[in-house]
Amino acid sequence: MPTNSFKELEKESSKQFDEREKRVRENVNHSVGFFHFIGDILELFLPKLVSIFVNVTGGKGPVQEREHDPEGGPSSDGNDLRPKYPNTH
Amino acid sequence: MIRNITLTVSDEEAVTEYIATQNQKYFDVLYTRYSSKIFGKCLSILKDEEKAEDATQEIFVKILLNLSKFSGKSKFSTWIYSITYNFCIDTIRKGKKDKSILVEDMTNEHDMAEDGIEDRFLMEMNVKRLKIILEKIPVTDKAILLMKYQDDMSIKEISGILDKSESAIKMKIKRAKQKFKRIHKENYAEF
Repeated sequence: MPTNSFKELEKESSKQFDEREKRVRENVNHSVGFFHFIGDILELFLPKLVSIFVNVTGGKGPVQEREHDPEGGPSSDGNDLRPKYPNTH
Repeated sequence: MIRNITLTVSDEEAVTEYIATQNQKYFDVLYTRYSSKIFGKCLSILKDEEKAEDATQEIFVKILLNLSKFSGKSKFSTWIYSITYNFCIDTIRKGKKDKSILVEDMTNEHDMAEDGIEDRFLMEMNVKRLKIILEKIPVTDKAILLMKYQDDMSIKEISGILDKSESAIKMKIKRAKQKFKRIHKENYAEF
């Protein structure tokens, strides 16, 4: 196999990393863990913050389903007690 | 356990598995394979062990946070080396506040004649001499020679990393080799 001094140089430089390897690995893990933590926090609270901001600035939140139908529409549970044919009651 | 996985799992498989499972052992595979090489490249370019250690750490954080952006179009090694070289060149650029660091020599691309310097001349050089000469040539020339001779990258891959045309990269390599030869001549007169 033909020699390649560049590869030899790479091996030589890499040897100097042996004593640093563990420390760098731990630091990388800490940094990535921190970024993931921040990401999780944002994922959890960002929608809340956005809706608070919308409310504070005078906007309306998402349209809520009407809990009560003033026109006396059929109830959602299917137990509609109103007569189906009001004139024949 | 990690040693077994290191032997059997390809880079691409480790990336896919890490993204899917976030399992630490797949990160360990990639770290074990590439950390010392990345450190070596940082040391070659930054010329300072502490800076190289910090750069290695930041590069790995960058790699992990951007792993999902690896498309698989190029080899994984090419992808992480491109992050490494660009990071190191940016670091030096920030230090020198020299915006022209990457555009030097790119303006005159008409001279595409062969440089007449054989690859063997560089590749079979004594490692000590190689190290000394690489210390003396500009950082972008050094990076481009490392990409070509240490990482076996193609012209196309290098042009992708440095965001330059292939002819510009050929020109850069030619000039880097000429500078290399000139410094060699100045320091080791018998050549």
